[in-house]
Amino acid sequence: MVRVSDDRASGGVTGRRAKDKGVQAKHPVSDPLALSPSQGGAAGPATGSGRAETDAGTFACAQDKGRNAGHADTGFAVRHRSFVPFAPASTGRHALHLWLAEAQVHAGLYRRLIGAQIRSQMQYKVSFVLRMLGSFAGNLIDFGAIAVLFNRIPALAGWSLPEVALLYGLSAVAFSIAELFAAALDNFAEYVESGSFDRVLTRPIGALFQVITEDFALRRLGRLSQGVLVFVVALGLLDVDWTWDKGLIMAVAIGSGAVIFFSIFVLGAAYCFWTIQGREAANIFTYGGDFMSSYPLDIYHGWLRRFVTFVLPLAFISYYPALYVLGRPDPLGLPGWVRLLSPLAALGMALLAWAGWTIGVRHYQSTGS
Amino acid sequence: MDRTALRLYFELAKRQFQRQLAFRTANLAGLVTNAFFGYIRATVFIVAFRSQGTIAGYSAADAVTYAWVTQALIMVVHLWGWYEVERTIRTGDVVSDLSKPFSYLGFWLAKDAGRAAYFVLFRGLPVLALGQVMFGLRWPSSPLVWVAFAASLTLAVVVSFAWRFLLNLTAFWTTDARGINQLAAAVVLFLSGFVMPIRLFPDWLRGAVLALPFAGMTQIPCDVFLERLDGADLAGALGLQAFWAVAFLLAAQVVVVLATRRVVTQGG
Repeated sequence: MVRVSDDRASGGVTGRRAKDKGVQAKHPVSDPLALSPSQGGAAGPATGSGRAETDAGTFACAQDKGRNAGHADTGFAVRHRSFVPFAPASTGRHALHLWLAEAQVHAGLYRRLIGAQIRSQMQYKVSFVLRMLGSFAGNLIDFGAIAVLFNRIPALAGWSLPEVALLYGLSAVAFSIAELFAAALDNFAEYVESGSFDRVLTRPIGALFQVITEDFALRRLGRLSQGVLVFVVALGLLDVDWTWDKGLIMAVAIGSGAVIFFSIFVLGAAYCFWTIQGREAANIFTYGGDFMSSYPLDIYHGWLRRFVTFVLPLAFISYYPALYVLGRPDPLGLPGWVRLLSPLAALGMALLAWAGWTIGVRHYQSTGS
Repeated sequence: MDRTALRLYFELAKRQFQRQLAFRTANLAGLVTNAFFGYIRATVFIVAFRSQGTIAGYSAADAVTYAWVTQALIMVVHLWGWYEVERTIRTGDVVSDLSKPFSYLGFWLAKDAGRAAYFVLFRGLPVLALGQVMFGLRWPSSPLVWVAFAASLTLAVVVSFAWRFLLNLTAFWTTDARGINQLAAAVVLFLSGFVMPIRLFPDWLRGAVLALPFAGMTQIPCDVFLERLDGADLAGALGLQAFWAVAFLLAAQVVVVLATRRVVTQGG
């Protein structure tokens, strides 16, 4: 809302557009390519005035070509907003305001779109309940396998059942939180293949934001609840002297793990811009990563342990936080502070995913049927 | 059944086999995923067996082979995630399939046979080969074992097909059969011995689970491969699979008849 004043020069045009496209004109702040708040904020005023100019241009086209052409052109114009030079210097407070306004717009939209999704999913209640139960049971059997095995052995590489259950619970909870939000990315290959992604690019809201609001897998609360169940039981069975730092590490690990898994889902979707098999390739790191993180990394070969520590930081989802809480030695012999690096690993993955997605969108060529 | 009918079902199976050939990269990606899970599961077994000589009669080499054989069978037996019939019911294409002059059950069974044959060659064998390269597997010691394994595997595919087919048919009554399919997948994965061999289950559970139809989908073919069964045991196990295959196919035929009536009333 703050930036509307920047558009004053071409107020008439913006006003006209407001009737056409509710969301865009009401909230000219939203930047489709920039999901990163920092970019949105810093480039704010420049893109604001830039938009006004391009709007004036496209508006003329729209009158010639009719409403649809106008929309398509707007998409083009909006996408190139951030390249407008001569940004007026903005104060920090101004940038913060813009950022907050943008966040508010997205939060409101997210609530509305997801609300609609959930209402539609609730139309088939029996199927919904069964899918939730299926998601609960389907994942509980993975733990069932661990339990059956521990029925026959006292420990796995020196890890007791409650200790492995802690690993399993951490990974399952983090994974299912990520999956709740990333469900739509599962079908992203179809988006690219069918050319539906064109439609996304013509709208003035972040492309990734639009894609992930296509689905919210409420049914996967089943998976989340079984993860929470195993996690809580593990916490109860473990003989750990709980202190505030250990509790904090657990909470941070779950948040970081969710971000890491979500980032891998995004990277898998971004890979679909090059090959529609992207999702299959990502399965190894998402589902495979979850499966792998359910066991102590000690059991795997050195090259794999190093890979998930230094390259793809799956080790920071459950293994290192668990080592910290349980006070176990690290077979890789890394210093103790490495166990605290989960948030840093999550930040790195998030940046990588953001970069991968941005490059993918630029690389995107419509199927143009 | 006359010769033209047999020829028809053979053609259907062949077409389905050829159709699968088009998804080469998807198959390759799936193969890598199957092998990755195989690696993890085999590694877990190796570490678990380190302190024990054998568990429930399995040596470490047996367990590693068990993990890789089950990974190789995933797409052959197709334990979960099969919605092909359900999809035709949802879209209405089922009407055209039902009106064709052949058995609806036979039509799908033939197609599934073609699908399974493709995955034996292009998924199962490559996964086993990767397992051999990475871990070294315990292979059947005589050609006769291979013959028994082939028979057991065929029956496993039929039992699994009839089970999946029945689950898909519930869509005639519920339109959205995904829920029940997912729930069933969880049950099957556990009770078939896929995630952990049934022989490792606690005593009070093992006997009952071994007699269920699901044991015939994974546990029995794996045990035949590992030469855990011979003589009367082998005959009994194959007989159990055959029993469930026939029972499920009969049930499927009954449900098809019931469902067909339903289509007529709805479409009228």
